[in-house]
Amino acid sequence: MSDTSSPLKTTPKLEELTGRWLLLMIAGVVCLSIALVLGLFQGDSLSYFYHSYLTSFSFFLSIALGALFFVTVSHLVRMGWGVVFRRLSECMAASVWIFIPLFLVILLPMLLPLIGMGEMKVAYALFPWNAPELDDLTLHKTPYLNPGFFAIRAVVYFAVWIWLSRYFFTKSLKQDENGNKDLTIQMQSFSAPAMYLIGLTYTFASFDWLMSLDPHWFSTIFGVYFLAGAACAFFSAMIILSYLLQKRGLLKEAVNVEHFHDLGKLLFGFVCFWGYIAFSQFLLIWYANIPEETVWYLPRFEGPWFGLSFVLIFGHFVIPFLGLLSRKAKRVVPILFLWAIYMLVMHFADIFWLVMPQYYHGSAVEPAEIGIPFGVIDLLCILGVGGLYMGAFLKTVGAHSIVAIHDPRLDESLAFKNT
Amino acid sequence: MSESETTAPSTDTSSEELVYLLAEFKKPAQVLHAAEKVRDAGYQKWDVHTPFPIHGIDEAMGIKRTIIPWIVFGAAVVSGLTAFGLQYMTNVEFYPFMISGKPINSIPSNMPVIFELTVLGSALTAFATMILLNKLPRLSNPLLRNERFRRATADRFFITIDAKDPKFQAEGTLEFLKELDPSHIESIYEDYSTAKMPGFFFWASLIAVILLLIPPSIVLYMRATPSKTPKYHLIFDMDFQPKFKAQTVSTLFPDYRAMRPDVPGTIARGELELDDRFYRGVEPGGNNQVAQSESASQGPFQTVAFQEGAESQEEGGSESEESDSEESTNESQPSEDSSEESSESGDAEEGSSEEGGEEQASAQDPGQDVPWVTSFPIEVNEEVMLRGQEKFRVYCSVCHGLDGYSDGPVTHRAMELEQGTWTKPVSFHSDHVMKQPVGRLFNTVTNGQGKMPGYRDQIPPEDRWAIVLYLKALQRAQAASLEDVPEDVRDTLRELR
Repeated sequence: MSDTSSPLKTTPKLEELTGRWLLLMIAGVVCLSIALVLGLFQGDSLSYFYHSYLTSFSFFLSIALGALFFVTVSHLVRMGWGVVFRRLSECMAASVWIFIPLFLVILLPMLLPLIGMGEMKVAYALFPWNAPELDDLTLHKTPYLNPGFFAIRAVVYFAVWIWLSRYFFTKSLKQDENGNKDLTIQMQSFSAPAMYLIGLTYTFASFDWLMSLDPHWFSTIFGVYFLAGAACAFFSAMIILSYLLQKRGLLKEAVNVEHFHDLGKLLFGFVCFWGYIAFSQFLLIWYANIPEETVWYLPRFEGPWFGLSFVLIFGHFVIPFLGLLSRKAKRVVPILFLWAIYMLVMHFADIFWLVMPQYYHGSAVEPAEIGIPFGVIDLLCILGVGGLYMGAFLKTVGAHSIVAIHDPRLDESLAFKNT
Repeated sequence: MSESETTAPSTDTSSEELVYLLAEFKKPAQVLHAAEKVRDAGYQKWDVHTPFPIHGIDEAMGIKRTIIPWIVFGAAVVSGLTAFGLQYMTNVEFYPFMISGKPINSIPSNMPVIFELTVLGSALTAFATMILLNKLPRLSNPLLRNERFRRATADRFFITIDAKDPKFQAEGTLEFLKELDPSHIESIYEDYSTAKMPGFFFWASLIAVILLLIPPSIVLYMRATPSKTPKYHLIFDMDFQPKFKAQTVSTLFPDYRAMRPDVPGTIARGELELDDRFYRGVEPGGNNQVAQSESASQGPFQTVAFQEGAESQEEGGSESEESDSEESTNESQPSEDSSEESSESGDAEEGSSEEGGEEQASAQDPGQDVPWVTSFPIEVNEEVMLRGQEKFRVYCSVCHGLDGYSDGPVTHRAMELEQGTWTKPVSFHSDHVMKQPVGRLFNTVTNGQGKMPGYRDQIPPEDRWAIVLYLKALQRAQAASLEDVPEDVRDTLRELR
């Protein structure tokens, strides 16, 4: 069954913006190069640079993965209201390919032990389990934590993410052309197994890339914690993007306050979910008080990290909970826009809190002497990875419509009203 | 009669009281449009009845946004604070127990209860306020007797205007409604049928209540009567396992005990405790005397509760005749001895113990002749003392109190109950305890004393010594004078006074 008439009068496109993708990417590479040079001058075998780089990498990756999660869920639940956001989410998810070259920067030096150069400190600048000499506990984990298997797993994660995101993106684009409703049915059936893959890959990717920074520590809820943060980041990014596009006069026909209201509700929901998961992880470890589990929280209770922990409790949960509770905060779009920016900053603080204490942990620096642990390298890494990701996003959008114009549920989405 | 025909309200029912004017519409769009007009005409008491929710009807009727969110928010805050207060009062004010080394007021462990009660309180409040603000439950309404109105649940849309509305005029409002172009208009009159409950309803309720009483009475009966038949298991869980539980009977062994004592003359792997000073608090070779003193102070309980003591007592008996006779004299004393001890502790508390009485008591004290160690067989430093403090607060303070004056919450409660079975523990700051060498204190922690059970199995020996160290520090601190305090903090102490 085909239907080539769209409920939208004009097909919204990003043409004049997408031309700038190359510019953004070049700017990103330049920023990262400067950060790398500055990192070399730190005299710690790039350890600081890599920690900072991983922070920005995980931050932007979580937005892309949050988008993939949203696209899959939207098919799984046959979402009606949010069809207007689906194409932009698909593009955000399909831009995940840019993280392959970005990940190689992390992976390549880690492979040095495989060619007999494991003595070089840059090989274990980030992950201590890659060091040539390990303690007993880490040694027992080497069947899982070794550079070869680590690389293989990374290949699997990226393969799954690119496969899933391209699947939804290409099918949806095809529907733009022919309006075939069977494509929606196909994507629906595919979304359920895709959800399993998402659950497994997100969990293990966060184990590999964030949790194994402290190879002694483990928390089975960590993957869910990462997903909760990623969903917060995605909904914030989507609100910001839609608002900015509307400011440029785009997307005005498709998106209205009702849609923003629902994005705000989901952001609010995932803020609560993040708080719930973060507290669940903390409560069990705190209560059991077993050294092998508390070891991870201990450095985060010292120096500037103690303050940051409290910033997260209040800034990532209590304040946005109260702030986004009101209907008005979600329906007055400029206010919601500010909350979205705020939440994105908080999500960055969350990732920063996951990664950066590991740099100082075990080093000679006393926690009290760290000061404000944010510098030029961190800023350049954000700009660099951010520029590359946004460039990849614009490249992926290209000349395509930014709304799935022939989705069978677009009518429902356009007429959507919060009662 | 066609549906579209407008029938004027009949006039022969003028004696009855008019409550509503009812206007019927066939399409949702019509009723939405009509509702806007009624709103603009300034009516206050009126309503729209539809089979399904209509988008925009709130606005068309001029209904303000509900205040339920604010009420729910208030209820959530109150519930959350209640949950916190509940835990604070029980954990900090009424029963300050130290649980697994956590602070007395530990917020993280309070969070789950706060979370659950907040959700429960706000959900119940949302439900109750929704019911109340909708003026429910309303069991009867004259509208419900109207045949035509029944289609409000199927395919018709109605507007009712209440006769109590300030703008309501019998003729004027009727004319106004006619202008809205309804398919039908009708007057609804007050329902004068009896409000008495139907007879069968009373009897049915009575029978239902009686039937409902059966299950709880069975439960109560079952709980109050002992039964030899095993309880009925719907779900087995892991209730039946091929193993022996503690303190049960087994026919496998001649003594019918399921819990097996150590085989005499053997020592389990890793339990070779040769160091008398460290493990028993006595100088090497003094072990037998401990056994005797124990058997004397424990009286008839010793064979059950203190296996080791009983065994070594036998050994001592076979070795020398002299000690045997000594033992028998000791054994004849226990009842007398315990009475002495309690009277002595009473004296100590009053602080009026005389020299002579004390000497007499110590002459009969069975622990007197044991060569207790007088110095610590462990390293003495602040870290060990602080560990002792933590362990003391976990295990000892519930009875002995945080400062050792026997005012722990368990003691308080037991004294309040006045059951007579509770012996108040001796204050650590009484002369009797102050005099005891550390080895004896260690022995008391290990094997117990009087009503106090031994903590041999709960606390490893290093920690038992740490507790003794803390206890000595506590005794020293309570007997301290200003000269014991370092120079630089004396002034602050004076200010505090």
